[in-house]
Parts: sequence; C-alpha cells; structure tokens
Amino acid sequence: MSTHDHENDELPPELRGALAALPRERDPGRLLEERTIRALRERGLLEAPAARGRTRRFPAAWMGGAVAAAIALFVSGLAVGQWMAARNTVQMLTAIRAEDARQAAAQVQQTGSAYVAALSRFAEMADDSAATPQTVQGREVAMRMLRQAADEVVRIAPDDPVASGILAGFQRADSTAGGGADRRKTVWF
Amino acid sequence: MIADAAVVPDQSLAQALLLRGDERAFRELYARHTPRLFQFVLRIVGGSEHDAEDVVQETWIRATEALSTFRWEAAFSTWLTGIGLNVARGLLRKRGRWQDVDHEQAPEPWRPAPADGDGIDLERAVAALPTGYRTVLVLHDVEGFTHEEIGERLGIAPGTSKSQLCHARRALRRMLEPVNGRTK
Repeated sequence: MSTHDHENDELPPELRGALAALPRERDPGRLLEERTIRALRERGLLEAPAARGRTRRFPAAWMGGAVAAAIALFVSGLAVGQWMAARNTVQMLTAIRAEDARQAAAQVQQTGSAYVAALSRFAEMADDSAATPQTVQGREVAMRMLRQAADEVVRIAPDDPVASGILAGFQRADSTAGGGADRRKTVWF
Repeated sequence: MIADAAVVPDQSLAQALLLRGDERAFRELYARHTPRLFQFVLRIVGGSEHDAEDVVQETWIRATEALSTFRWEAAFSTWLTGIGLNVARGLLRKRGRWQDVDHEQAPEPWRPAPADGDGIDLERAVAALPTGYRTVLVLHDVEGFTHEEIGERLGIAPGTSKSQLCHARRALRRMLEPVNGRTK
C-alpha cells in the first residue's frame, strides 16, 4: 500500500480528506477476545489453562521478599532452638550437680555411719590390757581416718571450730610424740 | 499497551504462539492488531458488528493455523488484513451479498437517510455502497492500497480496480450531494 493513483481528481478534496480521516481502529470489546481464545483452545492452538497455571510466574521482587522472609524465619527458628537447648542444658547440668551433691552427702552419711559403727565394734573388741599389734594398728587407722576426715571438713568449712580443733589436737600430738614415725607404722588393710 | 510488551516484536510473539501455544503472546498480538482489523472488516461487511466479530474471530483462527507459513517478508498486520479480507468476502458470498468486483451492472446504491439533519454520515454512506464498490473504495481511499495490490488481493486486474473505484466514488458523491453541496 503506497501512493494513491491519479483517480483522486474525481474525488473532491473535502471528501478525500474525510475518507482519509475516518477512524482506523475500533475496539471490539473484551468478549470477542475471550471468544477467540476459547475457539483457539478448542482447536488445540493455544495451551490449556491448567497447564498455564502450573507455569505461573511471580514478580522478581515478590520472589526476593519471599526468599528473605524464609531465611529470616529459618534463622530466628534456629536462634530460638539454640537458646532453648542452651537453657535446657544449663538446667540439666544444675540438676545433675544438685543430684551429685545430694548423692555425695548421702554417701558421706552412709560411709560415716559405717565408720562409726566399725569403730564401735572395734572398741568393744579392743582391750587396753591386751594390746595386740592388731588393736594398735586398728587404733592408728581409726585416728588416721579421723584426721583425714577433719582435713576434708576444714576444706569444706575452713571456719568450722570442731574440725579445726581436731586438726590442732593432731598437730600437737605430732609435735610431742613424733607423729611422723607413727604415720610410717600405719599399715593399710 | 504496556511498555515491556511494546518492545517485543510481532515475530517473537508469533514464535511463542507457534512453538508453545503461548496464550500471553497471542493476547499481546491480538491487542496490537485487532482494533485495526475490526474497523477494516466492519467497513468491508457493511457495518454489521456481529458479522465483523465473526470475521475477526475466524481471521485469527486462520492466521494462527497458517502462522508457520508466514515468511515475514511483509508486515504482520498486512498479512492479517489480507486474511481478514478473504474471510469477509467468504462471509458475504455465503450470505449472497458478494458480487464479483468486476461486475459491470452494479445496482444503484441505497441512499441512507441523513444522520442528524445536517448531512449524511460518511460511514453510513460507505456502508450503503454495493459490496464490490465498497471494498475497492475502502481498500484504496481509506486503507491506501494501490490498484495493483487490490488486484492481487481480489483476483482482478488493476484496470478493473480503477474502474470500480470510479463507480464507487461516483455513487458516494451521489449519496452525499443532496445534503452536502461541497461535494459538487
């Protein structure tokens, strides 16, 4: 479509201009578009709407926001999880320690009771008039245990007057009777 | 038309439509070319919007089916207009309203009544022309086709196109003369 031919002289300029000025476009409306799309789909010339749904695309900004939100959610969940785990661990260790202390105290009580009971039985059997090497050795062992027990009590409670007094008594006895020699005589059972 | 879509050439959209049946590509092509196609076929069929809609739909179906044969040596819109013209002619022929353009004994055109008392609406006058006259007049004086191009599209000699155009213009002037003295 290029130039017009020379028949234009039969057309008055106003009419020629009016024809050239006629509108070239006209919107047929949305219904025709949908009708045409449907007809093309029925003929298999356009892809089915279901398949189009699977290939739906999201704007890049939306995808970026979604990824950032997912990362933030993951990191916050991780942090909360770690905090909860740390909190539980501290509680657990505290509980274990408390349990250990209770068990240790119970063990002290049991062992102490056994120690006292053993001493009591030993005292019933021991007789100063019949000082055998076994009774002497048993008395030394009893004193050694008492001294070591007093040492441990002083470590637990340095200001405890009873334990401090016991240790002071042992030290005085050592200085007057040469306890180093006595300690060397001790034979452990 | 959105800015992003405007930069996509017709050929790329057509390829997406052809290879993947891409509906978005089709909608974009449709949005670009249908308003002009609709106005063109509306004039060819003589102003019937219902007929023009049928022609536009059938034109798009045929164009989509034949897309792989289009060599892109001409503009897509020109190719589409050619298909639309053929579909419109087929519809008019089926309705018994199409006469060969080289028919020498075209009937005297019906004279439309003035639209508002001041003059006859030019669109109505064109629509009232015999189909053959109207087709040549629309193709030549409105759409700007040459007689050679009209001859190719309608299967007639360029001289016949010229002759029909003369008849069409004369008939148009006769319709406009009684109320529009400027056309004398």
